Amino acid sequence: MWADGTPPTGGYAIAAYIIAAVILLGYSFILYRRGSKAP
Amino acid sequence: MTLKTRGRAITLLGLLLLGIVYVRAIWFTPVERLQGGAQKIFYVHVPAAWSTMLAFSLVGLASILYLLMKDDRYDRFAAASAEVGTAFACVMLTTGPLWAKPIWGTWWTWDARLTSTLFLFFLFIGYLLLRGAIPEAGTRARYSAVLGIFGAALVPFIHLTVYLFRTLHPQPIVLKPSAPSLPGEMLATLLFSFLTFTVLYVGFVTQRYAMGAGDDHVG
Repeated sequence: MWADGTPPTGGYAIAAYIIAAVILLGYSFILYRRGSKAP
Repeated sequence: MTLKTRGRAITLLGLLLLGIVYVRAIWFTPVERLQGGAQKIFYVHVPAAWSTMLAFSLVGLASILYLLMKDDRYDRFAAASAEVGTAFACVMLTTGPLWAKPIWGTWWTWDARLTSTLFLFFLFIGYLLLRGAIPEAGTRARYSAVLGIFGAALVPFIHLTVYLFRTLHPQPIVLKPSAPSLPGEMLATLLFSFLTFTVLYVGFVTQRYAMGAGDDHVG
């Protein structure tokens, strides 16, 4: 607990934000590459 | 401007908006007192769930239209939406447990909402595998349309699971008959994130649709 009583759970949020960004950026990159190969 | 270029432009806009969502959620939205920082997962998890359910619902609609009209464009759209929905489902199913661990004390529980959502994800993995396994376009479109309709039929059921069953999953706080139960700043961030994930959905589907029906197997 922080001094104001808020539980220190921000690390889970950071992990979730990183994973979401990796999935969405990764899928964007995959679509870009597949689109570049397609006629 | 070709459809592919338009899809790329919309996706780029969506990614820029996602950056703004992150900045707003992390630094300009208050921390919830009981849950702490983990509550901010909500601004990614809920919009990802929205895009997943939107994508799979539109697979069902496009599948019905394909079976009625036999127009290949509906089949192409259904294939695109299913793939994009599966990508959003990956975001939903990874961010959910990261919230559940500090709040519920466990990564996962087999309650009705979580279990039915996981089944929906598996069903659409099966949908994509089915499309890859059938070389003949007409047969592939017909079989996958039937599976797509059954998958989409699960979506309203999943939304109602929190009312129909005793479940740990929180009840809807925005998509419900009464007014949203969130403070203004949190609601603004959530609605902006909904918009962002919808823009990303449109960008992804436009790109995927533009690739055409003939390249379902391109990896």
